[in-house]
Amino acid sequence: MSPDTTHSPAQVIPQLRDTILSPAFWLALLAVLIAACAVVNVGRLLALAALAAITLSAWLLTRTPLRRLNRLLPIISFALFCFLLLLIIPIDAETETIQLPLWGREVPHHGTWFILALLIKSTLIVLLTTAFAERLSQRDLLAGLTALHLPAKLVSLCYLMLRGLDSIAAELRRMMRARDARGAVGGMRAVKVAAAMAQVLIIRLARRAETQAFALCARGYAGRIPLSHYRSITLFEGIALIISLVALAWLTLL
Amino acid sequence: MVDSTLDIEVTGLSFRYPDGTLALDGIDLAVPRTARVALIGPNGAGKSTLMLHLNGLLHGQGTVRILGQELTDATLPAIRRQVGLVFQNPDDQLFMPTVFDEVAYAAVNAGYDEETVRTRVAEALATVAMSQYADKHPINLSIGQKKRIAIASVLVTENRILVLDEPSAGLDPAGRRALIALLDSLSATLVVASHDLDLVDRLCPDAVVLKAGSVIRTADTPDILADTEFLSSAGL
Repeated sequence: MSPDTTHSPAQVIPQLRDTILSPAFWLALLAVLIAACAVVNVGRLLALAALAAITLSAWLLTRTPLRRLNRLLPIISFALFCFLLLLIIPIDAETETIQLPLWGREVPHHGTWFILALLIKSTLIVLLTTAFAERLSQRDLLAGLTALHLPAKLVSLCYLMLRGLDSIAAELRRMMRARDARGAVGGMRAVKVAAAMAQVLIIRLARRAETQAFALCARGYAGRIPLSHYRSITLFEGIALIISLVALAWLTLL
Repeated sequence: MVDSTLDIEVTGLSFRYPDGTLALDGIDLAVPRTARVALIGPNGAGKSTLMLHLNGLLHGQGTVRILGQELTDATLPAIRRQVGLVFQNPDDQLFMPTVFDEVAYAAVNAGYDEETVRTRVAEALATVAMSQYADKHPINLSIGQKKRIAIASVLVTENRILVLDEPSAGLDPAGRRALIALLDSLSATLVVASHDLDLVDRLCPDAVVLKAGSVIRTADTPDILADTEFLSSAGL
């Protein structure tokens, strides 16, 4: 391994990605959109339609693959679980009810609206986050959160948790490969093996986390993960964010 | 009295893990300036635990002096800027989103200005011949490349002392040769823990043999490696 003399220091520095808007702007915009989705009244169809149109545009602009829709599975499962609860909870005489179309069954009015609102809002939030995640790299996330001047410890935690997912995925892949190499079988045996694997995975990850913490401290970690260079929000971006905030507030609250 | 010719001076160091395992038992170690010392011993001998003490990551009973300064909470930040620790598994060490940021991390923490950081990162990457990977994600590199990045990430602050845990583990023959050449070209004081006796022979004129948390022999590396009876009794 002879020292590299073909790259000058200037060439070595990765250029900031040639984009018009900074990662901090996209993260702030995402936060505004999530807040709008969280507070919107699902009875206001115009507001819902506008948020859905923004979400669809985000998916199209970021060219998010349709397979990412699988991220909705936990939400759909949770909504189904809540709906089943509504069906089995007894309704007393004073409870306001509505009749389900086609089925004709009576369910509590407020509970049904609550589940519907939860399903719509969380679906929009997950779809928006997925679309934005398609565009933002791990570095963008770290640079954006840093540029937004969020508390350094919070930024560290967010980033290390995200980075930790890579470690978990890699460790799990290794374990599954080792399991398959020794002739994994299906049925109840597979369930037992999966439970044992989960236990071992937790222990391994705890050990790994300790070593990673050592590695961080060895290079001077003091509660923050600093970057040598990142883009701050420009005046134009700040104005655009304020306009977005006002527009979404008007759309969702008024 | 402080010996100014020693980069590392460990006296009576003992350490017990929370589960009761005695990992280090009264270790004495003296590493002169710019020396290259190998720590050898079987698994569980205490090599890695001793290395963690040299960077102040673990605190046992006894004294650790680095470049004449006793390791205390007050001297810890300064000492960590002088002692670069390279872990056995680079995946434990690399966590930043790009190779550039990974190498820059320690330099930014040390408070260098942006221009100095850029220059030092460029130099460190050039030293390990990884300049063209600056904007790559470390996770996508081979084990040999990750090792080089891990070494660059400690070279960036121009550490006077480099402590390497099993540097050749997992490397192919070409990568191993390249690593030996790289380490051989460095002027820093080296402490290398390894089971790779050939690497130890080529890189480190002096060796310290550990067994069950104690130093059982300190001598010239060729003498130790020639004593096959001793190596066998030491579990090597």
